[in-house]
Amino acid sequence: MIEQVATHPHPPLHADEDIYTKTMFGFWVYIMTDCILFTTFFATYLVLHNNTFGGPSARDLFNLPYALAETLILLTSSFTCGIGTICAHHKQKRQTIGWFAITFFLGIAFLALELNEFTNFVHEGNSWQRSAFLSSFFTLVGAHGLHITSGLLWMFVCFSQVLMKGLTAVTTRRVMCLSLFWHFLDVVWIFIFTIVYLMGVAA
Amino acid sequence: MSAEIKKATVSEYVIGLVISLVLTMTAYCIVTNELLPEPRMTHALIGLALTQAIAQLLFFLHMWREASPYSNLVLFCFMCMVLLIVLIGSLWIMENLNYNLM
Repeated sequence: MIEQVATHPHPPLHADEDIYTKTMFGFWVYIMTDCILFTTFFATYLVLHNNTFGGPSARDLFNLPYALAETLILLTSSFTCGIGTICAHHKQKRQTIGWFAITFFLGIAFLALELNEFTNFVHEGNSWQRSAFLSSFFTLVGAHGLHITSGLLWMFVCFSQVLMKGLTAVTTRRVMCLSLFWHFLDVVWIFIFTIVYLMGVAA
Repeated sequence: MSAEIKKATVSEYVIGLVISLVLTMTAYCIVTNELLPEPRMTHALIGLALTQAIAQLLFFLHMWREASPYSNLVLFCFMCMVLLIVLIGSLWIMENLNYNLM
């Protein structure tokens, strides 16, 4: 396949587009299944969020400005990721890497804030073993954090590949899949922020 | 030509970002300033979250833009159906159990 691209510039364009369309569709299928996974975690959280077993409730634990900071950081990273994909479409290697580097550092910042929050909870004794509410909280938000972590690892590998191989059909496709993943993580976070943090503190 | 295409799509992301920021700050202000009474607050927050999710789907994920990958939309609708069944089903059943067993 790669040999074809190198020696026959015209016909593989269709094959490339075909592979691109199929790959993006396949990845979209994966994203849909990931949504179902998060749905089950959300359903669990919604059933258990009042079961505090004498321990602290959402209102006692959550710091809203802190969560807002996390939200804005992740939203901005989703935006910079999108700009990066536009640069990738236009084969601008340096700009793509630049924008994805910004996305990466915003993602690290988000993860650092989240890990800090989790560590504080655990050190105060409010780990996932404290109550059903906290178990479901750590499962839901922790699963999202795990997705962010693997997304950041993927991002690092991805822009290393772009750096070394340039924006070929293969690397561009991977960048598109990554951006799809990253946007999806922000959509999930919207619901986490609303249902866990906002409604937790409001109720 | 390609500069115009680039501008068009960058503006999509900017619009998406601005909409998301506005919706996020609205939701945040509603909660911190307690602008609405209880059942309405929850409805407003869910409404804002859904609107923001749709805005991000439109502007960041470019859903419903391509005519041909119709399958994306079908798959998304199927996912929503499963999501609603799992979510509403779980909440309904657990509420029922809670009432009957406690």
